Amino acid sequence: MSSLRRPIRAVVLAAVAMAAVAGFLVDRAPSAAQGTVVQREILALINSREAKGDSDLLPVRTSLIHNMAEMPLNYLGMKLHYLDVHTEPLPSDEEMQRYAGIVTWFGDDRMRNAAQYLEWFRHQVETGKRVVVLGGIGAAVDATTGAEVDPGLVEAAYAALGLTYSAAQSGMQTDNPLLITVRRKVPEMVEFERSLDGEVWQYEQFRSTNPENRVYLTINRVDIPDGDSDVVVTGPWGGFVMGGYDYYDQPRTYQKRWRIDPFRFFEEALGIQGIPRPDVSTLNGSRVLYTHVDGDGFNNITEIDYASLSAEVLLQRFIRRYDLPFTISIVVNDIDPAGLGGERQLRVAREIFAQPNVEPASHTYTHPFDWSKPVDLDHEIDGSIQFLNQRVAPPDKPVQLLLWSGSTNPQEPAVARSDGLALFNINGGDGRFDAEFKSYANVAPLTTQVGQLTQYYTSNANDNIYANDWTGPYYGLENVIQTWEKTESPRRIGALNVYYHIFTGERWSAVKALERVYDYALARDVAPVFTTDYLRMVQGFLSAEIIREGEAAWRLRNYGQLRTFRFDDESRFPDLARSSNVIGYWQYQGSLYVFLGEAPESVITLTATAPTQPYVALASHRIFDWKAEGGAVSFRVEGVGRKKVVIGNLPRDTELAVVENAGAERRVQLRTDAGGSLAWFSDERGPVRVSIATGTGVGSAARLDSAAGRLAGSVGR
Amino acid sequence: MKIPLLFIGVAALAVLAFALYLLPRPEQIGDALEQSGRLDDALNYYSQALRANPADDTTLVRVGAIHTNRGEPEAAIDVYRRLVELSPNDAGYHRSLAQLYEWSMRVDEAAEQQARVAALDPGDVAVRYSLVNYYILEKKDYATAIRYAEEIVAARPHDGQALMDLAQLYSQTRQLDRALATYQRALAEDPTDPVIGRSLARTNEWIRQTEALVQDYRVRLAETPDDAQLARQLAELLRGLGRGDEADDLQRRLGGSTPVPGAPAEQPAAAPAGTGE
Repeated sequence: MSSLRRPIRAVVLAAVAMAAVAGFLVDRAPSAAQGTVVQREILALINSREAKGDSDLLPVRTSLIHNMAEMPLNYLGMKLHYLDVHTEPLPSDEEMQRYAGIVTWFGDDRMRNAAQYLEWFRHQVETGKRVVVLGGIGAAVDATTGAEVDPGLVEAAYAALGLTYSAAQSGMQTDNPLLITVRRKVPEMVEFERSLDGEVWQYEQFRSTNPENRVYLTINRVDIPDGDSDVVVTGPWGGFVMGGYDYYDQPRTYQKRWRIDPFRFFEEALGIQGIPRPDVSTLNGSRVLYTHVDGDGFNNITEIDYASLSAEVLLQRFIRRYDLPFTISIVVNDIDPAGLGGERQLRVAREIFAQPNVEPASHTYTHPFDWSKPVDLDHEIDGSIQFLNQRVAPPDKPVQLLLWSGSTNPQEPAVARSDGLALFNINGGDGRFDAEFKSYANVAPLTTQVGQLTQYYTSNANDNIYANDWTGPYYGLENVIQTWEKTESPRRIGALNVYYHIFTGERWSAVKALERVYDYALARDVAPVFTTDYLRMVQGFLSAEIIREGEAAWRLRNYGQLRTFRFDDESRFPDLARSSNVIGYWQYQGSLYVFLGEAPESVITLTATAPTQPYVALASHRIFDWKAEGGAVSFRVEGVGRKKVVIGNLPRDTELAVVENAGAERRVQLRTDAGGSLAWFSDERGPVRVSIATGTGVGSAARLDSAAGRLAGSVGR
Repeated sequence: MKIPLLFIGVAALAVLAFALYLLPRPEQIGDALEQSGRLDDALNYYSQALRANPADDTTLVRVGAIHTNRGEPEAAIDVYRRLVELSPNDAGYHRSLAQLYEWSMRVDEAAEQQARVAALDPGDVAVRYSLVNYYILEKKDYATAIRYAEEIVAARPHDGQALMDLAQLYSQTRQLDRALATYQRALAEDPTDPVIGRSLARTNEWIRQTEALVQDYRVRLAETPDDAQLARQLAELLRGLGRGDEADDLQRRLGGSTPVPGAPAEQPAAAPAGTGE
């Protein structure tokens, strides 16, 4: 489409915009009873033939889609199902019904049953399934026979995308840097993390022929007539990026940088602009914060006093000191008197698990380092859980969580075993985005697929990684703050995860660094949760269903414990009167975060007019029983950690009567700010019920005892 | 027997001096305290020692180590900055400072110190590899990266991989003549390596393609001698083939400036394509 004239472009733009408004791009699934289901599942095709034979990771985990594309797709609200074209049959039309689209990112052109794949691919495009092709079509040669497939099939596959690709002209392919130049580019799309200057090294010829296509990068081969090639293209069918223009890969360090803007590219290619996106990063506007600790190093003697166990340091300096939820796992062999443990270890472990702000977890029995090798699952999973539940955990607080050890590469039977015991599982992922790994390519997705099961990922990297396999610097974990900042702005991605090992207690510098990490987190608006709470949110992300019920109305259901949906590039507000189970919202960095209450189903209706009713502007914890009616606001808030709730749309600059009930009633008077926001704090450990008389009506708090204490009502946000 | 008073005085002074000599110095006390894990106390004694001798680099190193062990990277960095001030030609201190910067993710400052190490220690190949990666990945400064890659080859003239890396950088930056010569050197070091052989063949093919294009451009330029853009493109191709003199001559005739050899050619920024933005 390189020669598209301006008026035509304007028409195309208008058509695309109208189609988007009409929901044409989003709503391609069969209609639900009162609306149209927004499909959120993407079929990710990988080719395990390309995977390195010596890797101890499953092919999904070594694939480019998983390592680079899945995170931005998760951010956009999408979830992936992987299919290995080397070992699995291609889905039938019926099976394809569940998918919103297809993403491929093959490393070469060899594929088993390549011809069959090309026909299936073209059929998918022709039946309206959106496809995203990164790198290349990946099926020019049949991997079984080594024979090239009929060039017409390759050309037809590209033709379905509105691209002319002449396989017969494969001699035009070159990587001679003297012959290739950039003809046209849209830098915001094609130079996201690295400019193309001096790095235009690959050429094949693709010509956009579909007038609805949008071409973001055209390169030119200078030694042939008519040498333009459109190498970054989107259209109503999806998107295409030729290899070399998708990402930059430094050979020696394996560091990657996105060339395309993956957020914008996938959003446009999949036609998912404007949909509400389930978001696990945020709870009532606060960034989710969770801690999980791998049990390694329980018995290491600390250099702080050369007497205490590292586990004791953890207990004294962190668990008891910080009013935060901690998920602590134990390697059972470290405490089992039949192994490396004894009475002292058992006592310390029991004390840790008994703390009210501790959630117990298993880090297996003997800490297998490589789960791709034979592992005694009875012993490592069932046995460790049994030991911890029978001998360590309080009876009312059994172990619910397994933290994968070593290479965090469980195979399907291990995940099945964990699932069979109704355990949550976590580890792997270890995302980071900092001065050393300066790319979204290093931020991990939420999960990885293990066979047909799910392994849940950590949100951030751990102390062992930052300390170079615990060789130093032992204060390395402090650098996680850089990742937190880079994933906060310009877009908030993922939760804050303080992830370390018990052996952190062994080193002064590690302890200091961990203190700084917690102090940093606590100086911000965070929503502290246990790891299983976070994982429930991720489960809600995976199960959530979105139904479009009009231009500006969305029904949400099956979101489990997830409480936040986000609209990007959205300046409107939730219409609180015409929405249901919406308790608050937050406009941040161009996005609208909508907070849900506890009902299993919600409706979000958007409006251009800001609401006038009281709403939750910010909260550090889950809000239960939210009511804003009859001149009063009431709610219950519970969870570990200091509680903070900010309520908007109250009478401005006014003293309001607040009744707190955390077992006993306490009355206070708080003042709203000039914008009508009121901030309430509490250090109560248990649930607190709060009632606020907002003015006209009669609420329970209207019976304010003027002798009650007065809190400093500083207002957040 | 009468002992002269003077002798007594001298002896007493000698005993006193000897006793003082035997007393541990503050840095020695600090060291003992450090070994026993009393880091705060050790720091106090080290500070005392440094007040007496602010340029005592041994004590400064101990102080830096304590700050590192206590998880105070900024303080450790300050100490090493002092050390490199005191001993600007000590590659070891620059190396340690670079490491501390790296550990704190201050990559630019780390690279600055690594450059000092490279300048002071021509045999340090590892620091040069680090700088090559830094200049490519962080700065996209291929000219500087190539300079360090050339220094690696100078330090290890028979290292086939180093030669390959350098040749690749030359070809990526459109210096085909240099790439060819370097691949040939690499092949001489490892004649059986199929990757080097393929790279060499590919570079030869590129040169053949480019020579053909040069001929074509010369013909076209003869027809349209005022086509400045064509002349610029031709000059660029000539440079890529190592024919800088011809390129300079062409530039002079056009009255243009001479571009820096080895610098990647700038691509003209273009308007958004298609419907664009």
